Amino acid sequence: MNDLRKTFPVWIKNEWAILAIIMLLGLVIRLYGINLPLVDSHQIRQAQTAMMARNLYEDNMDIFHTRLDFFGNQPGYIIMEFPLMHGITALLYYLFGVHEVIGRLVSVIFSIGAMFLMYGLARQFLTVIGALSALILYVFSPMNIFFSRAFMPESSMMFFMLGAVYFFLKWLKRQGLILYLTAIIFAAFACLIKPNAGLIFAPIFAAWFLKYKWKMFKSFYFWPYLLLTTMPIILWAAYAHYFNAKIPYCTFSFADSWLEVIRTRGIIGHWFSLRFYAFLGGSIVFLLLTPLGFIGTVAGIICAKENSQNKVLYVWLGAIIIYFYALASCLCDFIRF
Amino acid sequence: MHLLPVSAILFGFSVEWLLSKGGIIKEMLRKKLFIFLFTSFVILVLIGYAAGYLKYFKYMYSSRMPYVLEVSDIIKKYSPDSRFIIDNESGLLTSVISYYSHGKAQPFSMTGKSIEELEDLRARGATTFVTMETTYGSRVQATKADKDFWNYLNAKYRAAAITDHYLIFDLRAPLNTKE
Repeated sequence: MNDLRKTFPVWIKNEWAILAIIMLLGLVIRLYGINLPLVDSHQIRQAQTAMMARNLYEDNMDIFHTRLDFFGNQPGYIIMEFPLMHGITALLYYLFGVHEVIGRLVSVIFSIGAMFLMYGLARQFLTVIGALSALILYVFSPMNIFFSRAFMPESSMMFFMLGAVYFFLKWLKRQGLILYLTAIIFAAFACLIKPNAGLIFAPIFAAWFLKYKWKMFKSFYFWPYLLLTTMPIILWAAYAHYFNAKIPYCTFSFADSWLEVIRTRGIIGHWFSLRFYAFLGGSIVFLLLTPLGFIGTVAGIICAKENSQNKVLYVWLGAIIIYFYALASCLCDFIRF
Repeated sequence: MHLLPVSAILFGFSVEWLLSKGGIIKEMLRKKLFIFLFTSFVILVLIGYAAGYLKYFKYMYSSRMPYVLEVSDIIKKYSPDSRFIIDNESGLLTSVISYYSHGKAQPFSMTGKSIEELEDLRARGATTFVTMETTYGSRVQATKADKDFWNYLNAKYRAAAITDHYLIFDLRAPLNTKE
């Protein structure tokens, strides 16, 4: 707390006051344009999410037979990612009626939760000042602001991703059963919402390994963790695969759609494409981190102290870079990847 | 988006490092030239950020399909019950018209066999033919330019709306027939 008092005026005496101000500003900026129709950027994905939520509401919340309406005169059954955000929105439709602003507000609420978790996670590595700076970058990232109020599952994915890492690192320090189970639930939901959220296993397993080395594989907790976090998405993907295979008009399947994109667009070709780097660099420097945030991030890589805890961050960063090259490169038209 | 949390933490490290050099900063703040340059830098950065945010949000929040709500309202008005829309749009944009008109929809592309394909879809229950201008392009002129298809549409079906920005045809009952 001392570092905080030296830096900020006297009237801001504790971290919670500053935290509240940052989050309040973050909330206000996210509420701008909250009632816009779903024709802003990423309108296709937003309309699909809204359509699935409305169909869930009309189909009595049958999450195992979700529907989309643009397959001609067909019933439109299709299984995509686990419809958590769609389901929550559909439940709220029972209370407030069908209004797409509800979907946007669900995203905003998840993003507020994610802000808390981001701060909690940052505090495990940083002092109060450092963590508040990290939160400022997270809250005011232009790309994050947009996706935090879009009718899309991105905001909920970030909430569960951050929670999965936060609760896991907490558990690694304190070893409580509730923390362990909470970490599992968050990781499982993160992967269910978006399978590429599986990137969180990089920092999680790195932290585990750095603490217990090879003994982690003999730990009583390791295998149940692995099983319980990955089994839901494996089961859901298998269900989606077999369900969609029976539907003649449906071309979506978890692995197939990724493999198809990789097959048609290739991976390695993008590594030598100027367009890939221009798109990736532009998106990261201007839309995700902003120029100051980018400079600060690069500086942070250099000035972070060499200790085992910070190695977790390097592994996390490394995993994301591999992901960019291996998968996101061929999807570089979609900035959210 | 995956990069943001880890970047934010690394950003926190650089802020901590900067603040740990408090003595140097205090020393520099005693020099008037530094204060002038630093203040100018901060103002420039703030202006740059404000301009960047405005440009970004103006772009991201602007409508990609400015006529979709208008078109959906017209479709819902003349066809209040079940709707099956043939949408002459590129790719998945059909999902937006489908959502707003609360009906089934199918993408459609102009080919040499457009009339046969239209009739095939109509035989499967299509009630509406739509094409509209979006920020990704417009097939309104292309639809009109295909003389055979355009004349066929006008001769056989009632035009629910024809503007420079969108075309809507009611396919439920062909003109001059007892259907």
